[in-house]
Amino acid sequence: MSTGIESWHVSAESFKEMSGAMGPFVGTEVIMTVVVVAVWIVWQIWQIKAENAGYDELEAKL
Amino acid sequence: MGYDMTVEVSALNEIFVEFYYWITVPLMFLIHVGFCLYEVSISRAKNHIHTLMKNAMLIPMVTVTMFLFGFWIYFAAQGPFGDFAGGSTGLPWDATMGSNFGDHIMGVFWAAFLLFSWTAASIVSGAVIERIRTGAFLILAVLVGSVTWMIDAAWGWSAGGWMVTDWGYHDAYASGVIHGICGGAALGILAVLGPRIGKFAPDGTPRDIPPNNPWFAVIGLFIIYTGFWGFYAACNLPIGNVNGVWTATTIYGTPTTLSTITFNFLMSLAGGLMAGYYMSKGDSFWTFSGGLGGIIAASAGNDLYHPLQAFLIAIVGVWVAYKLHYWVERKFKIDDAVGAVAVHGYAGSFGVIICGFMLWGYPAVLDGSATINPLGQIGGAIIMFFVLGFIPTFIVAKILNAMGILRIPKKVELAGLDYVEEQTRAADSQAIVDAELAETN
Repeated sequence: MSTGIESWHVSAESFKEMSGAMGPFVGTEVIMTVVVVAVWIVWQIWQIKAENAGYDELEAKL
Repeated sequence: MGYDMTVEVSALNEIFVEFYYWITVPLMFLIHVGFCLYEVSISRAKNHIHTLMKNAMLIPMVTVTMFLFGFWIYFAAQGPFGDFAGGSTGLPWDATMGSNFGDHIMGVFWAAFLLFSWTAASIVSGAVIERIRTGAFLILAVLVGSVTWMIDAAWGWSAGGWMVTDWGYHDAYASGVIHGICGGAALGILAVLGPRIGKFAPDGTPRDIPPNNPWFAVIGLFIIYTGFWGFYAACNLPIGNVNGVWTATTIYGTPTTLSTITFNFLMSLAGGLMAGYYMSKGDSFWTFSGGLGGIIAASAGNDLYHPLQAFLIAIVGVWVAYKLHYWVERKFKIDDAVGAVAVHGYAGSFGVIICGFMLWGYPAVLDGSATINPLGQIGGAIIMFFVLGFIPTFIVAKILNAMGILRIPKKVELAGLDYVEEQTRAADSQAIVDAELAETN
């Protein structure tokens, strides 16, 4: 099984043709984008909730 | 097979351009270091950690959103108004937005833009210290760093932007496209957020809340000056063939030289420092801010000005910024804690407008189809400061305020945002003292 490139031993001619993606799992970029969007939004919501809870707790103490 | 020197020269040129932009990135990183040091030093001791974390956490927020959509906006919004001609360039799944044998520079180019984005959000950060919630600020940071500034860059800071091709807008080192918009954005938030408790006396007289550590605040500004070299370098294309002549060019593809921008950067810094010192009668905060404001005021035309012009423009720009800061503070009760609206917004907008008079008739684009003119620059300054700066953040801040997540509670503001950390630190220190005393006895 290969996730991408299997060999760096290439001829001068084929190296010129080596113009595509270097990373593994080519073709999953859209799915990864969706996952990262979700991570970003969930983190932002979590941060706001955690911050608000901290202020509520502090206000109760003061 | 014969030796093809043009291929080798072309490869060297490509590697030089990659390396050139790559070097600008760590230099611009210093801007963020400087902003953090500056902001923390201006804030009172009870708010240091919150101030630092608020500014530091804009880095991941703006970075991830610049990757997801910010850079795409820059390409998509170029060209005629409303014509989204950029296609998929800059989208996260585009072939160039990752490790790819066929493209060696997109990541470096993206990073140069990203560091501008951090700067954009960081300019706003300073103005709102000691009373904004981190969560609200991070939403506004994404708005400015990954959306509005990218739109203005597409419109007014690219050779194909409609403001450039239709209006002759010229802003070589971002007086308006970074500083004007960020000053406007900061003002939009401040208008909703309100002043820090105690900033204004009951009769409306402003009170001075002095920097906690003036010495570190000016060191922060010194570091920002250093990072500004990277910012200037990143605004150029290092090598281009302009009608048969090899030269550095602006982002618009029009010629300039490293000699010109070096002269003008330093002369505008000198003018700004002298004006800041004169206006404030030697106050360190305003003197160093004046240096920054001077560079910003001359930046729109620093690709072409004579150094003496850059010097004089810097003096006038800082005078305008200083006067406007205190007038707006008194008139509208705006508490701009670090003078960001003045140094970036007013000096930057002044810089855009004066450039229209100084460079009136110069070609704005290489083929001469649009020329720099006062009306185009005045219109551009309005778009940067109000349309893309003030209005979006004012609206979003209003929404966040209505949701009750914009401003910290009054009790917390009075006690200090680091209250819990300070209590914990004091308790931990006391516990060690108690333990040591018990062991000694």
